[in-house]
Amino acid sequence: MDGIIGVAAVSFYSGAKKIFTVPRIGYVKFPKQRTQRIITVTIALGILSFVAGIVAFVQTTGQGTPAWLLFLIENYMLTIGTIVSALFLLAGYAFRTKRMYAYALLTLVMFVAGYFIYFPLQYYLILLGSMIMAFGLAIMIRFIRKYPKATETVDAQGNEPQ
Amino acid sequence: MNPSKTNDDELNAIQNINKLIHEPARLLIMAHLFVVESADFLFLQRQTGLTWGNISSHLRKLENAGYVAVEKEFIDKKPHTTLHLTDKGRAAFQEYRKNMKQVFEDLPE
Repeated sequence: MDGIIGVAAVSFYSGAKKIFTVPRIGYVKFPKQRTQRIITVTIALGILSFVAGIVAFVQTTGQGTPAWLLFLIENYMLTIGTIVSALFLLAGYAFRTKRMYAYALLTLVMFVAGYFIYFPLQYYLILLGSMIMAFGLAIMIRFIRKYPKATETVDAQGNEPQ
Repeated sequence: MNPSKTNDDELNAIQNINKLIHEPARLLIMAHLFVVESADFLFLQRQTGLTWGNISSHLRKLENAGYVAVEKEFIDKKPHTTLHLTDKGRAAFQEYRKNMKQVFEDLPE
């Protein structure tokens, strides 16, 4: 399931980049150091999740559900809030996108509030998703207005491309 | 210390500045290409704020000097022109940066 979401997200990102970004601000390839950081963060995150999953599985099958896991499940709002915030922080660091830090703070505030004020989890997830989507849409509209699609095209020799 | 000697040294340092790179528009182009692996015309235009014709004429000069290489490639089956600094261009830009730093460091307060 995670894999499918990952593939869909990457396809969506690359499609959106092709449709919205490249015709407006052009194509750029960054040096390897920059992409290396994204790969490192992704691999580290994958390994960390894998190890945490294995530890939880082994302890659960061996001795019943361990106390730490019960604690995380009981306080699921804090657990989910912390994990999602950490993911936003990592994404912000890896992609150098400052708004991810704002999303991390928003997530943390919302889930900590959810720990004290009870509403079903899905309400918080829908609210968080809607807020992030609205923010993203606002940024996209501003971007499209600021950078209309380029109409002039010319290469280094001053010729029109084929 | 001989003041006229110092002035001569400073003048020499300024004279060593690469004038091809020193021109503001070309400096902008070189600086942007220096921090990326490659980019296209549109990216340079958006980043520098220069017109297409301006970028084109400056790029021609940089290309003739061997600082910038123009590559035609296909991206999603469409022809696409990308630009990147050559090794000579990177070295020239590093040298320019070093010389400029030297000029400002040598200036008396």
